[in-house]
Amino acid sequence: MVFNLALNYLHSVQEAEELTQDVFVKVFHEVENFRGESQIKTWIYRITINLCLDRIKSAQRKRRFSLLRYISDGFVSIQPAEFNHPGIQLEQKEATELILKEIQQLPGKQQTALILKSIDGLSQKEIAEIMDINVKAVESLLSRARAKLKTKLKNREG
Amino acid sequence: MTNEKNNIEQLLGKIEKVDAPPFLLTRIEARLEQTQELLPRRWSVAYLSLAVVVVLFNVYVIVQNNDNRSSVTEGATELASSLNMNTSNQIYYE
Repeated sequence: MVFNLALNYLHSVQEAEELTQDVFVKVFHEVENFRGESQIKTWIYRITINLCLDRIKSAQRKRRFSLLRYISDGFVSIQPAEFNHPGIQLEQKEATELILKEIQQLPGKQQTALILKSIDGLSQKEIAEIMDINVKAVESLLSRARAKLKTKLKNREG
Repeated sequence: MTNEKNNIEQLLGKIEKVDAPPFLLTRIEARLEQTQELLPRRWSVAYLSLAVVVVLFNVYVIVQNNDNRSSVTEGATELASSLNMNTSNQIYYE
């Protein structure tokens, strides 16, 4: 569950492996603080999602910084992780890769709602529990995410 | 528009679940062992730092006490001199 979720966020087997390890280390150290207000599966989902979003933000910051350094002194140090999602069939790889990369640019909550719904196949009620919001809010996030995604994909084609 | 939406949803829905690599569990166990080793080392550094602070504090207190004692002694000598009293421990005068 954790590995697949990480893969859907990070699109790289290597990154997903590292993140899965981080998740279980965090779970091990913080299990004493788990108050049982939600199911343990929900709690683990949340930890995974938070770590994934942190990693994405960190990578985006590093890329921005490396771009600045390139502009100032022609030095580029950060290469984005290669897209490597073994769950995507070869014939659909190009199109799916494009969609997943655009999803990664969405705001964190929209990204999460879309991944949990469209890829993980969770119900809106389950997503609401994981994200600690109500079902209406999930619907709104999904609607905005899909609209934004369509616009971005159209702009790419245009 | 609906076709595009269906297309996106279809593509995303076709992403399959993947088995985690078999060695991942071993790596997780190794990471957990590493973090557990780090914790005792941190505690020993903390204890060592505390011991150093305690020793330094004691040295400071001892030095302060010595300063106070010498200033008390000086005060007493001054008082004795002003009263024309003998400041020496000698009982017999030469």
